[in-house]
Amino acid sequence: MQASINIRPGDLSQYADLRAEVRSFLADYARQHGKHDWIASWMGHSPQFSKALGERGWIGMTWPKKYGGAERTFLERYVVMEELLASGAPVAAHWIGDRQSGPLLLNVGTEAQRQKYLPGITRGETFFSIGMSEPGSGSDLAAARTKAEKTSDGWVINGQKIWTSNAHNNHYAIVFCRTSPLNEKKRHEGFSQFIVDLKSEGLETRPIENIAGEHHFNEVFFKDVVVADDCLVGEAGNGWNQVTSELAFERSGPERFLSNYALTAKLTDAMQGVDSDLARQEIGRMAAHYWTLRKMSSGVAKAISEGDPPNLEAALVKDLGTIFEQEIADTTRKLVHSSDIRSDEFFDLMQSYTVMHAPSFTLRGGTNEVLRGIIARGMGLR
Amino acid sequence: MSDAGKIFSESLARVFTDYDDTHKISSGRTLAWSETLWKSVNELGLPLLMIDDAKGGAGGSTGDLFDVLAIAGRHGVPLPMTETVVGAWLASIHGLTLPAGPVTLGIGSDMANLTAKRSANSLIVSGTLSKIPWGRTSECVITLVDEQLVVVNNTGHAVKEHNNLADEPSDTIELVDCEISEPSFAQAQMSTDSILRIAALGRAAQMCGAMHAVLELTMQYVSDREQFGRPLKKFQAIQHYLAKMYCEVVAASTATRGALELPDAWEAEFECAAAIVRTREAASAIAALSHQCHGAIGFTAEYQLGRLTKRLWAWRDEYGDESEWRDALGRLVLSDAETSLWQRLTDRSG
Repeated sequence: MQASINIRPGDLSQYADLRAEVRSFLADYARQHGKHDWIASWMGHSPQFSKALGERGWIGMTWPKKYGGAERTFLERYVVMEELLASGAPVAAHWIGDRQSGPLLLNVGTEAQRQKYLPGITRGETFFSIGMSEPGSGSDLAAARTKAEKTSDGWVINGQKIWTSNAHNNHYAIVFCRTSPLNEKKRHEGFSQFIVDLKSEGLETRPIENIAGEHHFNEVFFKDVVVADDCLVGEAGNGWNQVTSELAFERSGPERFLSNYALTAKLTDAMQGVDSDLARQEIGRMAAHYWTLRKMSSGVAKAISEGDPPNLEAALVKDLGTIFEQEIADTTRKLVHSSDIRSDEFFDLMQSYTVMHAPSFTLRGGTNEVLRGIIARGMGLR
Repeated sequence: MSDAGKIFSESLARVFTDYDDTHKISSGRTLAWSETLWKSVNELGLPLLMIDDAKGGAGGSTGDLFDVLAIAGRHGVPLPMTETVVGAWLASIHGLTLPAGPVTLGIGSDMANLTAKRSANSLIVSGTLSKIPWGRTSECVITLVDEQLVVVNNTGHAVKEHNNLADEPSDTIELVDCEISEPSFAQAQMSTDSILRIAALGRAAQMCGAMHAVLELTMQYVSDREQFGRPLKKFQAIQHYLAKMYCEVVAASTATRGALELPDAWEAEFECAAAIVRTREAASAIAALSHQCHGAIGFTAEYQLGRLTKRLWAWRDEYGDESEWRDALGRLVLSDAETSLWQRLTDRSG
């Protein structure tokens, strides 16, 4: 086996000042605006919060200054992201643009596209959704059938996307479309990506309520939606390669083990001083996992900063991380009787929220089965 | 890792590979002590790894332990590897003289139940040393009593031989009025817990190497073995088991290396315990999955998988058992309302 058994962690100790700045920003923001919408973390959509974050220069912070970025390192970005997640702050509005749509445009977009979209993302004003999944295309992304056809001065899109989070709140989606007929022997060929304005004529979004009774998901229908030539992202026909590298960004971050850290924080704070073998065993194990995952995850950020595409490492961390965060809801259930936290209404809300959202952790952004396929390929098994 | 660690791990890899070849290890039973191998390792200067350049050592640090010990674990080397390096390092720091030959450790309440009386220039030690790795084949045991670091010469005591479940010596040594003269003891400059952390991390590095070997062996087996007309590795269920094993090896290695590479790693109470707990959990998962992939052959004494998995099972409870380390970590996290778990996770972020 060629693949390494080590991930070299990124050195985050040099950014203590930045970390302190983020903590104090979050404390101030919470004091001013309350924390009622801080339960959902990176599912919590708050344009107001995103705008405040943009004003601090903490969105698109690794991007060139000419596009509104701050030209800071991926490790600095990592520090900001993990502090946001650990606090449970509502970051969903800008999260996708910052994490993957912006980087995609930086990698393969035209100069005009970068100038048009990136500054708005960094200000926390322009929000993106992901346009990948379809009713017949979940894990098997190459089965996507939404079609874009070339016209004299643009493209016409027909088809349907699904599980499109916040399509009803966001401005744009990057839509993965078939642009050449399917060749069964080369299924990955003939795709392209387009930036589509979610208010376009012929585009309709319909809500899908999740088991927690919330509206994040949507179905998005495209009926003769016209997009101009300058909405094509990268090269026509190169969509598969582009979407694969976009997915590597999607899978690489600390949100893959910190989605519900706010619950952990609440639990471990409440358990202080409790004398219980079970609590020590469970919290000891939890601490060991968090510490290790964080080492691994910062290593992914380091690899990105050094220009290595960390597909394999990102898959490893996401597989381990999402299974671990899924367990947190149960760990909390086991421990809750030994403290008086049960009577805390906010804790109760977070706990219910985590129980209901836990199934999504190992599904979104590529199921763990898909990830293990990627890992097996990296190991040379397929 | 310093140059010293790199040079040692490369030289050791050569020695161990020759050893594998000459001994054609294929037995599930652990080999007994190998004097030849000990000589090669000793001649390479393994005990010098962490000793200061100024004292004639190789000038390495705890960060160099990972590669050196992982390679030993990967080759299933039947020697007190962690004990030799850590023992020589402790002796050097404390200005203690060691007899020539292998050294072992007896650290913590699990291993050392001793009392000491002072006489003029010596210490009279009595009590029991238990679970001493390679006790019967070592020249001395380094232990702690009354805050003194002590080198107990291993002759003339009643030794009760035990083996751990990997058939490695794990002996009980009774000390009755054992007289230790200077310079074989000195005021300990590190706490028992600090020394235990490094010993347990050394064992964890050996476990990482053994896990790596288990993964490689399993990869080979599922490539060679065919059922239903195709190699096992073509089955998705098997691929997922191997992916899971790989995740666990990487988690354990990243954690153990990360803890050992911290400056003054032995002081890092939270980080060391986290790495130790995570590595032990990974060992259990990897042993179980590797046996599942191997089927009945892996369960035989003849096949070499058992040689590795039995070590993983034994080692996960040496230098403090797994639940003790989890308890210690949990106790630490819950001990101070002023320091949140998040602060502990991020404060010494490396």
